[in-house]
Parts: sequence; structure tokens; C-alpha cells
Amino acid sequence: MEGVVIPIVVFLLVYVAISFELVNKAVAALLGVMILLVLHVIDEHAAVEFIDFETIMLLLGMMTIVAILRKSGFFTIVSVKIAELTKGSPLKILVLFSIVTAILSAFLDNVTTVLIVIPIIIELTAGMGLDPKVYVISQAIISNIGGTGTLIGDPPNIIIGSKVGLNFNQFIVNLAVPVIIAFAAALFYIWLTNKEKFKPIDTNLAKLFSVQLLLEKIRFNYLDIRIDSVFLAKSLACLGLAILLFVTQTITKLSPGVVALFVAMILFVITKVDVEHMLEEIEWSTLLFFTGLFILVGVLEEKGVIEWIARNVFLRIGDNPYVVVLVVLWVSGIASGFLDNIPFTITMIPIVRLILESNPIPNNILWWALSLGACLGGNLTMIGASANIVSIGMAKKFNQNISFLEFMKASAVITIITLLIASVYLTVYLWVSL
Amino acid sequence: MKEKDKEILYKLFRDHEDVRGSSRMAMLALRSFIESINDLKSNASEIKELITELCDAIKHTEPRIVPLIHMIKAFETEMEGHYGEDLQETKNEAIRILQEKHDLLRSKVEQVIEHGVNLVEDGDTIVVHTASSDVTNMLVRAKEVLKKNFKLIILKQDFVKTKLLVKTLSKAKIDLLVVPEYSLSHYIEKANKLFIGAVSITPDAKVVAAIGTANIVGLCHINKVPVYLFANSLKFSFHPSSSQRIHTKTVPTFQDDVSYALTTHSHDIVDLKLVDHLVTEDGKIEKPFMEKYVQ
Repeated sequence: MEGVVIPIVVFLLVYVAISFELVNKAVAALLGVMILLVLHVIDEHAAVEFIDFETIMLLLGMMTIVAILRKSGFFTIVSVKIAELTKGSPLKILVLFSIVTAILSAFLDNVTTVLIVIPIIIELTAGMGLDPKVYVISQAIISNIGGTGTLIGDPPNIIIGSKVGLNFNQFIVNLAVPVIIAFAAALFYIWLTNKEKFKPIDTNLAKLFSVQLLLEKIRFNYLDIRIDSVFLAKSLACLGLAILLFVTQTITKLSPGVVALFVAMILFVITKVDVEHMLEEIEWSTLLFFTGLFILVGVLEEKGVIEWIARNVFLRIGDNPYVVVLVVLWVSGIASGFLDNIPFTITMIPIVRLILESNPIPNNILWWALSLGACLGGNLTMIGASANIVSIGMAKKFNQNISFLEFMKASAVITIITLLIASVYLTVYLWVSL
Repeated sequence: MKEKDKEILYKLFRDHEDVRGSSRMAMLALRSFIESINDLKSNASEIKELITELCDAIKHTEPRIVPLIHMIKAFETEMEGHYGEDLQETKNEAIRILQEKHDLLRSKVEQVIEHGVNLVEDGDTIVVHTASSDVTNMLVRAKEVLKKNFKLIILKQDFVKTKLLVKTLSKAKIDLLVVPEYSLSHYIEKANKLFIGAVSITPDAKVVAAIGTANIVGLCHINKVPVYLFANSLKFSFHPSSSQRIHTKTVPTFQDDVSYALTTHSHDIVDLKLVDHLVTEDGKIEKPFMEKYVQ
């Protein structure tokens, strides 16, 4: 491992800058990249190769689709339906939105889900005078938990599924139980630590009155003003097409990024929206942050830092299968909280293969440990998962600033709880299998 | 009630008032009050305090929604003898009184519309400024029921209000011309009437009306275009214009390399002297009698 000091120092400095919000996170990541370029640690051609354009395309495509869908009034309709169902009860808002988020995250991708849900939940809760932050954080966490349940739910699962050859049904059968328990536990924890914020409002006449006015305002806007039914129909048809292409990905061989951007371009053409105006809705700083982060992690990976850590941890732990499974789970979980779980998962796959060669563990349990660790671990910090970063970015657009520590205060404990649930599940599964 | 909750509530009031007018807003608020009491879970000893808290908040909106405040004050007075040990009975009484207030307000609004419809004549070119649903309903009825042939000059305001107004009036096949508010001077010679609504009329002979109304009324007055103000008597306030709590907001604004603090008001204040005809549930009140009528 030659020349690793500068990339490690730069990465740590960038991480500190992001953690303590010393500068804009996109600027921090790109400044880190620029320092590596200026010091000739890498050249610009190599740097560009580290960027995962698949993820960038997916993000850009879904941000565009959601921006056009928002213009169509689709979210207002959903808001009305959700608001009517909840009758303004904060706890019902949390539970109903979380169920929707978990299901959508399992069958779409997490980023798409939070892009759809976060604007609705902020409009609804802010309009009711509730604190939208706890709802934003909860939806980001729930989306990561929901995404863990299926092959297409989270990028690490897509990578594991395609590289190892595990199919859609295997993911659901093996991961549904821990995911459902983790979902319930996370919701319970969020409720327990924010009881005051979820107090029912049906004893507060003034709040009930405000909710009635808010519901009427939403109904009025939806019924009389914004909805262009043709525009809405086209937008929903395109969303349906995107979901269909995501679900049939194994047949069409089209990557989610291609699907998202393709559908976004179709939407631009058939809805004839003002492209310039729509492009202003895109979270460009989030995309730039991803770009910078991919390069920084790519350099660490190229210099062998990530592999060195992985090898020195995993190949020295002995051959007790329980220990191996739990170490893979927890190291993946903690590492995914601080590093991007996509390159981490890619690095871990050959290492898990090496472990399995020397210590065969039945029923793909080691792969499920990697999947659960990499996906659930994303909840550990704000930058642990794409959904977290996008959620925070969306919240900021609605003047709801969530700090790194504010996010971690809620998410870290939930990550530990969900990893403990996964530990118990994998231990029992292994005990039954051996 | 927390200050933040009040701010949210008042913003909701303004948003509704902006697109419906104050009478419709007041009716909506009374319906919402009824729904809230229906959904309320409390005990009999708490309900008076809860109702009083909400009534106080409603009475302090920015700006004062005068018809609603009158109704709420009357409701509070009538409720005094009805707070008992049976929660459901108290709720039923509150709902009954609120429903009565709602119906009273609706009947006054209807009466104003009835009088207003007769003021629309064949060949008129009427300038319409506010999106008040009373004025809108009146114009639609004049076209659809009385088959009057008239033209409207709609002064474009914000997107939502203009779209709503154009959508409703176009549906009734009324001949429309939409122009920016600041371009009225180009069309003033063609106009023979200006229709406006109001949030309130004060004892010092001022009218609290939608933003932009003061300029339009001034221009019409100078050009001798008669100004018709439609307002039922529940809009007459006991407080002077300076106490109407018009909402002001100052926001930092940045344009290129220039930054400044921009202060905006939620409503205009118009001198009643500039209004030629006041139309209430009692019919058309002519200028010489207007101030006395208001007082």
C-alpha cells in the first residue's frame, strides 16, 4: 500500500468537514477530490472512472420524474388521501407513511421512495404545525429498512444478487422476517423517544380546527386549482412504466439508472413541461456530493485501504461460523454507516468468497449477513445511505435543516437495535442450519 | 395556544380569505369549528376552556375577519348558559348555535348576491379586481339566469387567484379580457363599473380589501368609473382601520448584487369616500347615506 497517507488524510478531513458542517457537503467532497488531483495522487481520467454513473443516472432520473409528478399535482392527491386517513393524528401520520415508505422501498429503490414521500410528509406536517424533522428522519430510516427486504430494494442487494446469483424470491424468503421485526422495532423506538410529538390532537380543539382548515385548503387546491388530468395521467403512466421496468429488470436487462433517465426523458417530451424550470428542481448539490464521494472512496479502494481493512479483520477471526457471521454483519453495518455501502459491498464480495472457501457456511447465511449489515448499517449516519442524503437534501429545500448529529441521534440507536435483531435472526438461522 | 400555532392558523385564514373572500372564509371556519367539536375528545369540565381558547384565537386573526368575529362573539354569548355536565349535550348545543350562525351568514351573502345581480346590465363592461366568491357568483348568475350580456376586464393578480376566477367565469361563457393590474389605464375608458369586495368596513369610513384594490379604486374614481362595493352588514367592524391588524411581512430580497428588505401587506385600506355604491343585504346604499349607514 503505497501513497495511502494523503488519500486517508484527505478523506478524514472531508469527513470531519461534512460531519461538523464546516462547509457545504458537495463542496467538501469535491474540494477533497481537487486536493488529490492537485497533489497528483490521481489524475482526472482515473478520477472520472471511480464515479458510479449508474447511481448518478438513477438519482437524476428519479429527481426529474418526481419533479414533474409534483407539478402534475400527484403529491397533492396523495397528501389529501393520507391526511384524510390520518385525520391529523401525528402517530397515524408516522405509521401510515412508514408502511407506505417500507413497501415502496422494498419494490422501488429507497431514493425514489424518499423522493416521493418526503415532500408530502413535510407539506402535511409543517401545515399542521408539527415538527417535520422527526418524520423526515424516520422515513429515511424506514426506507433503508424496507429496502433491505428485496433484491431490488437497495444497491448492496442488487450487487450481491447479481454477483452471487441469488434471485428475487431468495431475498424475500430469507430477509422478510428480520426486516419486518426491524421495521416494527424502529417505529416503536421513534415513538418512544418522541412521545410528546406524537400526542393525539383530538383533545386539542384549536389543533383539530387548524387541521380542518388545512384539509379544506388541500382539498380546495386539489379540486379546483392545480390538477391537469391529462398531465397527471401521463405522469402516472410514466411512473407505472418506470416501476414495471424496475420490477422486470432481470428480464429487460435494463439497469435502474437507464430506466429512470429514459422515463424522465419520455416525460419531458410528452408533458411538454418547461425543461429549464424543471431542471431547477433537481438537487444538484446532492449529485455533486455523490460524485465527489465516489472518487474519494474509489481512491481509497484503489490504494488498497478498504481491502486491507477487510482482510485484516475478516481473515484473522478464526473459523467459528457464529463468530464469522456476526463479524461480517457488524463490520458491514458499522462500515456502511461511514462509507458508501456500494463500493464496500463490491470489496466485500471477494472476501466473503474467500471466507466461504475456507469455512463453508450453509444456506447463504454469510451473504445474508453482508446484505443485512450493508443495508441496515446505512442508517448509522446521515451519509451512510443515499436515501439519508437525499432526504436531508429534500428537507433543506423546504427550509428544514437537519444536522449530522441531529440525524445520528435518532439513527444510531435504531441501527444498533436493528443489527441486534439481525444478529439474533442469523444466529438462530445458523443454529437450525448446522 | 402557542404563538407558532397561532401563526399557522392565521396563515391558513389568509390563504382561504385570499381565494374565497371573507364571508366564504367565515362560513368555512364555522363549518370547521363544527367538525372540530364533533371530533373533540375531552370531558365536560374542559370544553368551555377549549372553546374559549379557540374563539380567542379566531378573534385575533391578522387581519380581522370581521364577519367571523361577529359570529364568534355571538356564539360565545349564546353558549354561556349551555355549558353543563353532559359533554355531548354541550357539544350538540355548540354545534346547533354554530350552524345557526353559519346559516345566518349564508343568507346575508345570498341577499347581497340577489341585489348585486340586478346591478349588472346589458352592455356593461365591468372591471373585476378581487376573486371574492360573492362577486364571482353574482356575475355567473347574471349571465346564466338573467341572460345579461356584459364584458369583464379581469385584473390579473397571482396565478392561483386569476386562474380560479377565469376558470369559473369562462365556464359561464362570460366575455373576458385578462390584463395585468398595472395596465388598467389602457382600458379605463371602456369600463363603466368596478366591482370590489371587502374584508371589513370600519367606523372611520375605510374599507379593508384585497391587496391592489386601493390603486384600482383610485384610478377608477379619477376616471369617473363608478365603484360598487359588495359587503353584507356583518362586515362592518366596531374597530377603526388602524386596528384591523393587517398582516405585514418583511423578507430579505436578493436580486443580482442588490439586496434589500421587502415589506408587504396582506390587505389594502381604501377610503369609503371613493366608493360610489355600497351593496348590502338591504340593497344599494347611495353615497350620501353610506357613512351614516356604516356607522
